[in-house]
Amino acid sequence: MLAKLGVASRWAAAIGGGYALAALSSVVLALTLTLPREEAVMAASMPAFLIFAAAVVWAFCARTAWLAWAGIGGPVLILAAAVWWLKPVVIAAAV
Amino acid sequence: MTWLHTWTGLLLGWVLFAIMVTGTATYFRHEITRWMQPEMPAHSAERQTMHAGLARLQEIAPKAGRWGVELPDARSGAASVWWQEGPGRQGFKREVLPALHQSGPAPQVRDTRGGEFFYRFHFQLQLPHPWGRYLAGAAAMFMFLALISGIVTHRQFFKDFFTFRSGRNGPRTTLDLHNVTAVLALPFYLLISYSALVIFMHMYLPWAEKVLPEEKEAGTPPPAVKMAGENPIGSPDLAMILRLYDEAQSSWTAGEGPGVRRLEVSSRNTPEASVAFSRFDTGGVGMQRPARLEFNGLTGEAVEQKTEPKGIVTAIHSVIYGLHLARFAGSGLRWGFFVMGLMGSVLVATGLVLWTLKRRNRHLSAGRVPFGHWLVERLNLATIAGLFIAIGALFWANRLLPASLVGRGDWEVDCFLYAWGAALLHVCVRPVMRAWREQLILVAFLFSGLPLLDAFTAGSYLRGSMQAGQWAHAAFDVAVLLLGLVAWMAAVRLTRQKVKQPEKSLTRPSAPQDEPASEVA
Repeated sequence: MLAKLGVASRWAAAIGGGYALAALSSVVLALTLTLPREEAVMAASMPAFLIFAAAVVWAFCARTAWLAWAGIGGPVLILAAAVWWLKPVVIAAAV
Repeated sequence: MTWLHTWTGLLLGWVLFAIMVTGTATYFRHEITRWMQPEMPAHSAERQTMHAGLARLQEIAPKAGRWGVELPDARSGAASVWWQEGPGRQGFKREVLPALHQSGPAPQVRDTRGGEFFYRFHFQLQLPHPWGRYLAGAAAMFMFLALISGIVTHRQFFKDFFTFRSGRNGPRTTLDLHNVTAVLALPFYLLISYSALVIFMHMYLPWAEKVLPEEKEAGTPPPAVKMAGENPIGSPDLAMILRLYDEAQSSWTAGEGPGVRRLEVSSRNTPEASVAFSRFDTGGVGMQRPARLEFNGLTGEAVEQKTEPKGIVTAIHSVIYGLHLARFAGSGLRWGFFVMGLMGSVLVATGLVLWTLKRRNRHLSAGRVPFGHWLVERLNLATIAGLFIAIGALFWANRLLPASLVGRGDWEVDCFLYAWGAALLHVCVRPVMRAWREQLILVAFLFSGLPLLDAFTAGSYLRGSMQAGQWAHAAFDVAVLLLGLVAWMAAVRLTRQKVKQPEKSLTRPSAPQDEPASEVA
């Protein structure tokens, strides 16, 4: 039962956490790249799928489900903080 | 990692299989359309065809606001004209041109989706927008994950590659087939799954675009509408359009490139009338908008096109995009892609079947087959054989439905869906091994019967195309015949194997009770 719970938890970390990580990484990259808008969006989104894949692999490689969550949740929090800090700066610069 | 490979492969494996098969067919979508519309006259992209198209438009739609002529390429064969008389879709009409030496009305060409059906199904799966694209994206992501975890599971795959055991042992053969097809075209699989994600990334990862502020406009006001002044309100006449065609054609073909593909005359009968030409693909790998030349429709002067500077990121993106669509591929390379697509389909199918083979004996010896296993076995069959039954039904319907049927193109698609549904019902009421045999035999019958059906219903067109040195029609017949033969062989093999199977051990005897067999799963 506990093992099944662990697997379900890993799936949640892989799909939900992995997607959040991919989405946030694309946003941070788009905000930091100094490229024309359209190019910045492409350059930021294309690698995000690889980050998604890496997160899923991590979710099932980590020794425990807790570690799986930590390895994905940590970067998610850092990137979220970066977006929170960067977004007003970039918008202010654009106006 | 074995675990990840097993489950990412299984969960959307059925969807993935359908996407792989229809995507493989899409490499030949124009050829499939030609087979499905055998009465379509063949033209060449010449000045004469352009002239005939314009004359036809002048005759049937002199008042239309927009006109277009589309010249054929070597693959699609037919030229068509379109015009817009009223607003919206209702105002849009399209017609195929009759063959050049014939006079009279346009030929009656049967209504069909043709190869377009496979193209659309490949990423929309007949689901309402946008859910088909989301599901296809999820399948692409799972495929990408299954590939990565499969590579890690199989670090010594080159060794495995050289061990193909084709004996009577079903699971071993299936496993070897899975490994061989995986290794043979691995870069291709990685490429198509990743590029599939990139093509629709604005849907799958729209966040970067949402967050970035809009760019300030570069300060160029929209070009002022040129007033007609003393110019009469009128339309470019045929002689003028043909002269502009010559100009566009020679400016493009001067550099040894391909010439004009499309003509569009817009804002006819207004002071803003314009004439625009676009060009055939220039053969590069990257996806790009076709080059365009625009002229003022009253004076015939060239209108300057603004060209956007392209950065390296756009270039990389367009190459990834273009590689997926493979428009650049000539016929040799196109067959190569087709074969790799078939191998990919075999890869997914064998992977799905392996999942059940690995677990079958365990359940048989335990005397109880869990519902999950029952379901997977049936979904495998209904997807793998069922899809081919559905495709076979689509092609048969294309030849057998009367040409006058209203909504004929939709009927063909309905036949596809009903046949697939029937296959699904069939597996629910039959023992699974028998159902495999019966469905494979049906696939064999449908596919190997197609050339015969074609000879009876469209034999004159087939002969005509071969006399004209066009092999697409005949190649289609050969290809479906081969597919039918493969289905026969599979059915025969399955019949022979049935006796032997129970005594063979499907999982290794030493395998621990609850762990999936560890070579691959």
